[in-house]
Amino acid sequence: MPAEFTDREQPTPESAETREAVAAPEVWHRVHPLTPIMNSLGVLVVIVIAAAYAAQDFIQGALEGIATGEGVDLTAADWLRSHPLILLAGLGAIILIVLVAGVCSWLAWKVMGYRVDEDALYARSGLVVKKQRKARLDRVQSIDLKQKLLPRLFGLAELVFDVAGGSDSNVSLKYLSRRKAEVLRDELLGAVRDVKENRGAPSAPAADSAIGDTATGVTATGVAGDGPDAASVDAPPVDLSVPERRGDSIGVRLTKRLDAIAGGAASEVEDSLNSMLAPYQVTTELGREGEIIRVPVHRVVAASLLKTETLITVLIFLGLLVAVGVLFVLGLTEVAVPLFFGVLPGLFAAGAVVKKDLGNANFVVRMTESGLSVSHGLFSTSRKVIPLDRVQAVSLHQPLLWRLTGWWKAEYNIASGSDAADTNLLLPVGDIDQALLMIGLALPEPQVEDGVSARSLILSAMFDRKSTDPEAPAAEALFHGQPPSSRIIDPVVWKRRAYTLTSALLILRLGALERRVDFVPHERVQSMQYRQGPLQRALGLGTVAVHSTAGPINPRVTHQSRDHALRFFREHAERTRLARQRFDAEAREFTENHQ
Amino acid sequence: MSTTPDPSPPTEAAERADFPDFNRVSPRYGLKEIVGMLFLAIPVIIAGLVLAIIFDELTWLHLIWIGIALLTVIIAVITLRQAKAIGFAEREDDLLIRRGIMFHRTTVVPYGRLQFVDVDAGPVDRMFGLASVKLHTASASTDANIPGLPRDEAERLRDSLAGLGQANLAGL
Repeated sequence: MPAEFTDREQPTPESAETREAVAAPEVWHRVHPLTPIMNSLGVLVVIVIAAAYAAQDFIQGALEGIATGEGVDLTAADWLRSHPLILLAGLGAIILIVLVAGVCSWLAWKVMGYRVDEDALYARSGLVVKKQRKARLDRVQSIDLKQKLLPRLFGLAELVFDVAGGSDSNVSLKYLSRRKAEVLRDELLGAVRDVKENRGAPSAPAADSAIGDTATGVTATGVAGDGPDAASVDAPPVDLSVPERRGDSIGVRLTKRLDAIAGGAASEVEDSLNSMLAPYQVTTELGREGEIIRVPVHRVVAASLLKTETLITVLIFLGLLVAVGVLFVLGLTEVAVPLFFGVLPGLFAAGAVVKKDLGNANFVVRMTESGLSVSHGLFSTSRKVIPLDRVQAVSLHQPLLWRLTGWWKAEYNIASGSDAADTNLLLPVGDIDQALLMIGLALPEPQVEDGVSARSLILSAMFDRKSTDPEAPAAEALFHGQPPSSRIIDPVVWKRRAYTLTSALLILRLGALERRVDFVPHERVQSMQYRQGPLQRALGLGTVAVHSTAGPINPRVTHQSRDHALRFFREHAERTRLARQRFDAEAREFTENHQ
Repeated sequence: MSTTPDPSPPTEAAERADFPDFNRVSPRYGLKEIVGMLFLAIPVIIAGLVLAIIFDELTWLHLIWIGIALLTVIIAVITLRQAKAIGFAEREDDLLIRRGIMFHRTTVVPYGRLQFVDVDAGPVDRMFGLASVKLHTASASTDANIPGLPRDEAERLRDSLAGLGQANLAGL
């Protein structure tokens, strides 16, 4: 048995060979032998802390004894020495526990394993309670490589499979040696791609299943082409040789092309990338392993310090420090000292914020065959592929002080059950070109009318009337601002807030102090709501909320004049309907022609 | 798609986009809301009254239950008005829901975006033979709830929506 396993445990990069091995039925692969120990590390830490707690009393007593010159109170030790049997029993018990733990770990390791067949990945564990989790390959949305601090020290990594479905739908496979985890991940990503391609439309059904799994009334698992009205849809001309849609984000289309090029020269990919991003007028060079963006540590630190939250904390801290100083000078020491110590937790809080941001240090974005791969982390690295085909909305955000450095942050909304707050980051901090590159990849082709370039339009959205772009006046003319009557409700932001439409996107300009720009592709809109409160009615205003999936972006066209808002509501409902139809028709067309 | 009743001429895109006639919810819905409220309000009023009678030297205690009773009446009037303002329209490609008078909101839910449809009926609902239909999309902010439909109408609507959702299913 062991021989067989060691044989299996070295997957070679040649995919044909490994795919064969992967397809072999009922072969369970072993995880790394240290896994049970890593899993029970938490218990060990608790034991050590408990022991330290228990010993604390003795140590404290001993120290006091030494300090007062009374010598160390060794009655307990003397008592133990006079009862050697008890001492032996204690030692024996400890050895026994270690042995039992070791055997249990070994047994636990024996039953741990994973298996991959054509349809799914299975992970099993559990000595007493058998557990087997299954991740269907056609439902896998992404495979992340995660390295926590301790496993990292031992060169171990964990693979997390984000499977479409409820919130607790992650299947995690731990632990594998880092190299092996990387190889397996690439291999499985390839398998997932193959399975999805064989199952019909490239992204639509897979994307549906992202949230439709728990559906009761309308199950969203059907293939988009099933509808009886398939024939009645007026299909726009589409290039059938390339499985990509106009409504797909540029990143997705590029990925699909990359797949077609398959191992082509980096320069070819680069040309493709730059030509597709031409409307944004950004050029980028592919670095090592397709690297397109790297955010250095110092920039993350500086950006974190310049954040408004950090700034406020620091200001309060300095204010209190001054107060402490003044009290000290006035001789009110008994007030000053507690105040000083009272301030400290605030400083720790600020430290925690910076520390959290440090997790985004070494943020590296790579263009790979499986999509846009992101890795980040200072002490523990995590890697994941941004599922660009499920991005629902994108936003750019600039905290007040980032204006000094011209930095922006990019985030996205995604259709997924599991949404941890920090997974929605497209770019933690970057200059304008980097920000444009990232949102460009995450959005479909912008299709701006009237001869204004996408770059000018977005710059106008970012900097409103302060945009220095030569086309700025023309771009500004495309924006619909709020009427002056909204000044009472939005005294500061009414002049900046505006929206504009391209054939593919709704772009919202928001936030006066903390600038913000939201982008919503038409085919991604869920539902919409027009609303009007009493104050708005008095002023003749109305707001339209454009519903996106859960995430940091909550797009709203605020406080337009009533008629304008209602017209936008009606027209946008129609616009998004047509965009959806076009988007699906293209997928349908492709599936029908490839069956 | 031919199964959907289309309230407006399908030829003119502009007219179809215009708001059609809205269906009203059951006239019993307003009553049901009031009854539901009374279940809460009456015990409170009685408690206030009893308190006022026990401590009869404190005459101002009567103000409490009178105040609550008045408030109940005011809320009842508002509730009735709100119930009348609820409307929904099944259009060719989406469902429109209109609610509220003071705080007006109109929601549009495209059939292709429906994830699932719930039919809920609480105990008071059942007393009046009513049910509410709630539409779910992938967005948590979709606040599409049609309360106070007769049971069979609610079920018809759910089945119709489920069918339409399936037929119009759109990729995300």
